[in-house]
Amino acid sequence: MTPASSGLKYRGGSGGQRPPAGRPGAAGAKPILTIEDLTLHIYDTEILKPISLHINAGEILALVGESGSGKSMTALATMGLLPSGSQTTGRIHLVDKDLLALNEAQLCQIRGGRIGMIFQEPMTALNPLHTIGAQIAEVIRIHDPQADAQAQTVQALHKVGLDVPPHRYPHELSGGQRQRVVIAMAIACGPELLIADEPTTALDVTTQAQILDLLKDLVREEGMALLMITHDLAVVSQMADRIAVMKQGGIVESADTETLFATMKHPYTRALFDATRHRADLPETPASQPLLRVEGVTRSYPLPRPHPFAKRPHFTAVNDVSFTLNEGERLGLVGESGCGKSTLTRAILGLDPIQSGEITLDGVPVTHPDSRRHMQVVFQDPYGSFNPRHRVSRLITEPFHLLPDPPKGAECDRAIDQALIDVGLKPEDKHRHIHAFSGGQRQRLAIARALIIRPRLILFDEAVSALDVRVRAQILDLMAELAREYRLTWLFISHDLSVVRGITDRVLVMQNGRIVEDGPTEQVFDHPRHPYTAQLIAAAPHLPETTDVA
Amino acid sequence: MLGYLTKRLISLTLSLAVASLVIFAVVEIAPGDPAAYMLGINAQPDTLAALRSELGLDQPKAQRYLSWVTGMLTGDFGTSYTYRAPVAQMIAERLWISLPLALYALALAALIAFPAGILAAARRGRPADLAVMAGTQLGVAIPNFWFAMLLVLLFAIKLRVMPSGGFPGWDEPLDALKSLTLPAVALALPQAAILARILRSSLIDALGEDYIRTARAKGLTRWQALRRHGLRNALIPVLTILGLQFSFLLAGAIIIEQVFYLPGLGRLIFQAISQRDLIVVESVVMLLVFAVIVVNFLTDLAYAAVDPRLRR
Amino acid sequence: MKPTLLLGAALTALFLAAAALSFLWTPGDVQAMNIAGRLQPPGLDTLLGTDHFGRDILSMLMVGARTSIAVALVAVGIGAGLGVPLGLTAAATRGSLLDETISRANDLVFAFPSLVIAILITAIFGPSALNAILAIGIFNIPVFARLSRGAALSLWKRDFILAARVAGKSRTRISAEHILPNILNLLIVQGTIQFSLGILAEAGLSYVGLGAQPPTPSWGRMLADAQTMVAIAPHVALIPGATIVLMVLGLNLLGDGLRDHLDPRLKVLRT
Repeated sequence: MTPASSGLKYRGGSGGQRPPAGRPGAAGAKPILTIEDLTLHIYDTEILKPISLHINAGEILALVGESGSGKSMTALATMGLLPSGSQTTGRIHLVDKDLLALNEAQLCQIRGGRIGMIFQEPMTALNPLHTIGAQIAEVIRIHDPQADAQAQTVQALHKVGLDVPPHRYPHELSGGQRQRVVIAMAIACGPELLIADEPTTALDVTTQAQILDLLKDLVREEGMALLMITHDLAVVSQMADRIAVMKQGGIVESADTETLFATMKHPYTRALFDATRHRADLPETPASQPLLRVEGVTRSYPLPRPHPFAKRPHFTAVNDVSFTLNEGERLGLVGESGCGKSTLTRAILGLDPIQSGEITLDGVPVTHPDSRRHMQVVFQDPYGSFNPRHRVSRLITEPFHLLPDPPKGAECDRAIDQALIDVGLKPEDKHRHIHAFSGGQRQRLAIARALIIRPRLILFDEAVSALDVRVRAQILDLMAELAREYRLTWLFISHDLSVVRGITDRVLVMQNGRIVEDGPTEQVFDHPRHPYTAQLIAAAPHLPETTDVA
Repeated sequence: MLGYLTKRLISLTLSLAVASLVIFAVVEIAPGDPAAYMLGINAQPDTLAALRSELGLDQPKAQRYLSWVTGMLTGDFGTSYTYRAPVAQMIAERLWISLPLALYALALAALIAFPAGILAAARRGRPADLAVMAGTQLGVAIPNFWFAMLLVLLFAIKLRVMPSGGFPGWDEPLDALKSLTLPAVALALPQAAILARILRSSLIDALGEDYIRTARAKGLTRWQALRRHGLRNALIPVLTILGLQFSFLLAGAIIIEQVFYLPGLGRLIFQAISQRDLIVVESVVMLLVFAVIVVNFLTDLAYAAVDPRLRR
Repeated sequence: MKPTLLLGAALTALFLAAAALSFLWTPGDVQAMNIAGRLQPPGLDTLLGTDHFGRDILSMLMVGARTSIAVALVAVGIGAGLGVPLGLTAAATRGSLLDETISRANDLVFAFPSLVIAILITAIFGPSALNAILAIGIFNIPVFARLSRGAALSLWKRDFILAARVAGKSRTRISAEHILPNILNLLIVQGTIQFSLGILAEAGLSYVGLGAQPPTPSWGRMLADAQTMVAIAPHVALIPGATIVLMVLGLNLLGDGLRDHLDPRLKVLRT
């Protein structure tokens, strides 16, 4: 009856024939989504200033911005899934229909039928109690009760390149596979518009590359329009036809991808670009003697018994790992999730026992108190790293507990003030609670806490991964500055190759519990020796080269 | 699945073993000699000794424990000190009232709680939710025995449509059911209030999950998303409470049985305690604990039926 | 602040005040019998009427509140005092034999029908308020142990706990310094709920004659005495029952209100 059900009929046909190219500028480009002067208020807070954008069939538009820029809200407004208390003005047209004028029942026909949506977190986006086949079939049946849902489910799984039987449950699949299931649900009814909200942010680089390729192919083959929402300029630089940059609820710049990167008219675009490929200016690596020695370390976990009388199986997370870190050196440790880098980090910190091998700091085992007081750590989550009930002065002095004779009274106050000044905060901040600080400021505090006992080694465990790109660049600069001032030695653990490249002198690559490559950072990135390293580097999204660097 | 099952079975057996030990020990340290109690203060020492040996009270504790446990395994619960009748038979008679009462109350509680909880969660923050929440707030605050008195006052004394107590026996099934109705309602109402609150909050939690957002993005209406994706996920905490409630209803009927003069397990244990009929006390408590542990085991199986992640 | 929180706080304060006042003054004498003035309906002389011995019901309720509150409060104290350290210890030694033992013991206590055990204890050691406290208190232990273990486990995964470990602090010290303060809100809310359950349990026990013994007035016993008189003088049953409902309602509203006020995401246990 409606275009919603007619959309169902145009499916398949994924053979050789390509739909008419909807590339910008191409003749006869058909606008699928047109947003005009959309504003959004949630209660009395302005979320979106008037924004306008359009996407043609077969085109990919990337909406790029930092957290809180309103990019996800734009997507939810299009889906008609805004939180309660939302008020919109303006128009959102899907081909011929004004979505803002539709009632809930009509919107239900649009959602999943003419617009498909993909979310960030594949681990939680699927219902754990239903098979993946049932969940894909559901969207098909909802929009066309007469459809052969089973056959179409198999077809959808085939289209997303997932070779898994439909009777599997989500927990039996990997993150990448689950994301393919989510995509299969989104495209099962042959929608005209696909909205992908940070679809690869939770995935490893190699999986990310595969999912991005899949999305690109689907758009080209099915002639869909894709609205791709991301915080990462590099991710979209290689796939988007056009890019719109959002800041504080408005679109500051919008152009073809090539034009955008060539001109970068708006200073904010330029700032994002520079921050994304930022490299800190590290001081020279001093020639020195070994500080941290990791020799033949193996760490394995007992797994739950398959049945009560079975022998406990073990999982070897770190397998015979050896390396040394010299005093004053900045070492990186990269690897994908589950490679064992977190386990190794905990072992180095002396938090977990190891099954074999030895970890020493200046010759002393790391589990010994004499060794512990020379080592500190900065964690990933700026929100979970501090006890919300204590004030800054108490929070950052916690490592004093390690000292046999911790500073007291005025001496302690001086140490607090100095630590805060070192990380670019003010001494007055010591009286505040942690909730008064932004994410970037909290990471500064975490560094202050690590610095306060002047450790010989600092571990940065994904320390900038949760931050927006511009804040991340500032923290990296701060680290470089502190390295110059205090001659810091650090081990920088991250999944993000581009960050590791900008903040380390030497890098270790870890895969399946083993270190597969160890060498000077630039050399490893330019001439990887191990195929896995090469694969990682090839998969990592990167920005186009531009002539000038600000 | 088989692994999960064996694990649960082993934990079930262990729990029962420890529970039986604890019960035996508690009853052992109870002051007072059942034999002396039965014969009164003027009993002769030799008659006392004879009775003690007849009851097996002169044997070592370990042996008595073992014979009690092995007896129960074969369905022999021993002989009542007071009535000189097989305990198993006494329990069985009483169970014919307590078990139907508990099931009746459980069914009523679920019948009230499910619609109320679902309605409240679906209409969160709206008048229907507020009404349900106010009702449950009152429901959890009312002592069930007082509620039972009010029911008697209204339906038995003022309106005269229900019996005020007693039990005619199952020969008259309709009358029997009628005489269990007010007790069941009195038991069910506070339980329904708790159940409805749990269901509401776990449904609201489930509705906040990402997969509900996914379902809505697939074009399901709010109600479809709740029914197809929210409800089953919300069921696990509800199952836990249902399991706990069954045992509570079985045992917690003690006071309600007092109000309605129902000759159920509750009254049996009450009499037995006051008459120092320790073997009956032990056995009834063990039976109730057994019921709880078995129901917990069944709840665990129900989890596995609901949640595929447990079926390994 | 929400009106329900205020209502709950007001009701709770009212009952606490009435109980406190009863030490100094009651409108009538709770021991004095007056057969001539028995079963008086509520009126000007006796605000809430008299019972079958002619005793002033309001005075008895005030003195009875003392018993109820004392029993429930001490029982919560026992439960929290033993349960919280057990739960924190279990969480701090997660996966160890100690943790396993504590958790299994909790499950086991949960498996005992609480009322039956309460009756068993009071029956074996003689009915008294003290034994009622003991019986109710024992079943509060696993509630607090389970609750604090669960809450503590999720805190142990947080980075600030890891930071404290890197700072060389022992697990005991971390439990006291970082874990306990962060689960205090939850414990307060759960404590309020257990308090209200304690009031109900005490009423049930004294209703069947296993709580505080006469002549100490108690709410449950007043109801038990009223049972045979409910047809001729309904107020002797209605008023003490309504009193229990109001007290429990007040505590529950206070608990829920506190939770909403402190942190709506707190997960309390309800059994």
